[in-house]
Amino acid sequence: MNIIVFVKQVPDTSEVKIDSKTNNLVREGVPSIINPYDENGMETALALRDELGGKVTVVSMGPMQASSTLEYCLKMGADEAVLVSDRLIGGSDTLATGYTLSEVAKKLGYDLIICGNEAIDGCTGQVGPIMAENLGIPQFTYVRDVQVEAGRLKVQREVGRNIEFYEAELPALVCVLKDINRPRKAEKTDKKVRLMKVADLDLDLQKIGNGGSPTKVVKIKMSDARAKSYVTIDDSLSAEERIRMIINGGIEKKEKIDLWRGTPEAISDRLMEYDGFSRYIV
Amino acid sequence: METRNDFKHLLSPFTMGKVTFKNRFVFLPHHTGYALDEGYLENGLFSDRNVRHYVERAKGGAAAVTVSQNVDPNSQMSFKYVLGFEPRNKDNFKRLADEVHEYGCKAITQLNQGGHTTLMNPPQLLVAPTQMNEPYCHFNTKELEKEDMELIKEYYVNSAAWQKELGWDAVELKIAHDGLLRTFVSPFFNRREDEYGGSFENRMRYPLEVIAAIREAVGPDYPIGIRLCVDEFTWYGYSLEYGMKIAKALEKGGVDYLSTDAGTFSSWYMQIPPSPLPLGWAIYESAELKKNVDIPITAFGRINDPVQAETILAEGNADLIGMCRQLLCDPQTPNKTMEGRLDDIRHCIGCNEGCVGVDGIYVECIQNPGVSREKRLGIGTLEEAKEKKHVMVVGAGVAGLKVAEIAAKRGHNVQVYEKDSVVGGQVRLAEKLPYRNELEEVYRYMKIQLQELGVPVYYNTEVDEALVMQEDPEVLVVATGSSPLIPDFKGLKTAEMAVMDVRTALKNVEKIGNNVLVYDDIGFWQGGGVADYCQALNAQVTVVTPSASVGVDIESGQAYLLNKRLYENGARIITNHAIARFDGGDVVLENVYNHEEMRLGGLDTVLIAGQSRSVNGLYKAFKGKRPEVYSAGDCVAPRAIEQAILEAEVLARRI
Repeated sequence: MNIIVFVKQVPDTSEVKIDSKTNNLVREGVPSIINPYDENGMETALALRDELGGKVTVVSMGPMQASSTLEYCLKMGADEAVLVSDRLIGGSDTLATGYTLSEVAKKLGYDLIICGNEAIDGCTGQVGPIMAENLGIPQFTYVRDVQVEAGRLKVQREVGRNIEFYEAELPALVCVLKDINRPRKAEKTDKKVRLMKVADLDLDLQKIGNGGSPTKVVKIKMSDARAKSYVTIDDSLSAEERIRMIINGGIEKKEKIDLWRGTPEAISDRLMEYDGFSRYIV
Repeated sequence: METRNDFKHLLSPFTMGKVTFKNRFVFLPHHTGYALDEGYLENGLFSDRNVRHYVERAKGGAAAVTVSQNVDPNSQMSFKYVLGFEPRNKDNFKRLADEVHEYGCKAITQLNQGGHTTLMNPPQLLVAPTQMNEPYCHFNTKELEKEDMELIKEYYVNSAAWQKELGWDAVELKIAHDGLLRTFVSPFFNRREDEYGGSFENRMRYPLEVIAAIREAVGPDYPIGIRLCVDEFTWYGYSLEYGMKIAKALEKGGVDYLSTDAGTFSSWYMQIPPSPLPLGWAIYESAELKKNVDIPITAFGRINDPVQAETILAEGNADLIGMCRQLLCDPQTPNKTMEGRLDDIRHCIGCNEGCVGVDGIYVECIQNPGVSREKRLGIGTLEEAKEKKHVMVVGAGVAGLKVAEIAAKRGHNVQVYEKDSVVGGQVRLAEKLPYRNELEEVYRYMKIQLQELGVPVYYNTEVDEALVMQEDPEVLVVATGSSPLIPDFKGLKTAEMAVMDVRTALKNVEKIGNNVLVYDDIGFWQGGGVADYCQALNAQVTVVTPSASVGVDIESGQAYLLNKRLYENGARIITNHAIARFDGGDVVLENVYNHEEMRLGGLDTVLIAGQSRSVNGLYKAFKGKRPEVYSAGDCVAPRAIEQAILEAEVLARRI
């Protein structure tokens, strides 16, 4: 089975700096890492290959320095690594990136495409779905489990408090979550990253790079409302209400829950009869 | 790819004026009750025990210790409260500064005038800006005359200047949960019509005058801080918005730092917040101070863990981390943080049983017997055993665990046997009660110690005489706990409802019905706490107690919040009544004063929270027949965690 994993190099910090003129991320001086979701995507692909055979090709689009991330993927066990890097694709938004990468996928050939659910720098989660649309193949986001059985894809999606189960024909594209697996350690390798230019691909130049990117960033600024680890209490409440809010962890009244008491046997009997329970039985 | 938490904020130095703190751990001020009281004019003496108490925290790695003192010999909150300007305190004050400095720790003077608050009954003369009692107590105050105010100011200045001379590093004044200065600031307590009342500026005048006078005496580089109550949490008091106004005025008045504080004597469960108040609940107050002033802020309010502390600092919610009870519970918290031994930190559980308690005599800790006994049980006092012995500990409740931990730390070869599949004994039941879940820490800490020491715990093993003979230990420690008693009530056998002790009920929740009577005949958590638990199960609850209130032996902040929960959730509470007898489907109560009877019907469950009896068969079987046989914990006499741990530690040091 041919698997392509798309990965992105991202800055390793929450203190991201923004160039006030270009509204782009300043990457200088910030250590770069593989996008954590993509690392789980790599592990997903490697585990499938180890089980079913075939080949894992890892692809990244970005500046030349992104090859270090691809080298990391080779060390994890990828069979091939392709860096798509060209002046002509600089400044691509998610639409242009999705287009470019779907052409790369066509060129390389695939049975399954694996992406991270989102990148920790942009957090759009769009590139995977755009690729799937361009390629006209089934896509699954928020994926917590991937299996291939008898040539069919079996996927679990984590949606809110529910888990959805799907099956699909290959080829298909999945975007995986971080807790799908634990990535393996990188080991030594002498495999090399292959460079791919725009000229190597059959691209519509109108659709790539800055020109192919309809997204315009109007403004980026640091959020004031960064998540803090404490609860704030409304000072206009009465003292008694403030104290109650503090004790309740910031909520007015704790919900009264319908509690069942009884022997374990009695409770399990009741549980089995509970209306709506059956849909949680898998 | 993972980032290691290296506590880069918490362990970094912090400079204030000419004083540099080596890290961000500050031992917050508190009344220890350790000062000597030998009668009229012979009290408030800073004792050897006081010195050792603070030096222990310096040894443990704290950056600063804050010593709370009373400036006015005529208005002490307690005769066991240290007097700030008492010539006889000179040697020990100097000793304190010298000894904490040896560990790179700073000594901060905290000064207070008792004002309208007291820990005595009856108190010395109470004073206030306007004649009025603090609502928590009935004793009235004298309205201060200007001469009094000048004299009190002098006391403040003398104490601060003198202690600076003796080598202390900073001075802090209390505009906090008790004392005089907050009453001047408070629009409720200060109704003066002279230049010290009537407007915000006037109300701030006296505190600012005291600060200015101290500044003149100590010079520009000596840090002056304020422990500031930012929210009084009373129906009549000020709250955060006004607190910020005070903070800004103090900053303008030349104050170098603010240490966050909340609550008053009328809302004392907010000043020493017990376990129902969440860990770090007051961070929003420190964060608000950070937004309003530019001087350093100390955070407070159930901060008991370095990861939590680091987060507070990293998010910019405070500059220093104030810990009082956590450093009582584990003075080595800073050192262990530095060494990365996070599992080894013994966390304060906010029980308030040892440090506050119901006796109010002096500060102790249920988990750390070394508190108040630093000289004998503090850091570095554990001696290696001269003769290494094979010690068999029967029972892994808190007493058994503590004996095993201490004996193993002294080099003995220890084995622990537990009939259950888990350690913790009765604490496993106590932690089920609402807001008592943190009790888990008591056995978690000791379990980790045993793991690190390589002490085996044999689970699901009930020890009988044969097993002892087979193992043939040199030392046998029996810590087999106690079993609950149900008094032989008249009519009990024919009672038409389930009657059981609270331990049975907590182990078998399904046995608790929907209309429950809890009989609080012990005054501790077994009564009120179980009633609270039954209410959480949606049962209709009646609490009966022969005492004047439910939970008379629970620390007053905890007891207040417990009673509040019971009443708010609709419990029927009948005090001053004992169970007289059972009569079929009824329970007959009797008034303890006039013996009038009261009949309660419709109950399906009666839970008895009463006395227990030691389970000591194994101890008795071997006592006198083997060389070293001891008992520990409830096996000696059924009591609370504090006694079990203290006595277990003392015993294990003797083996």
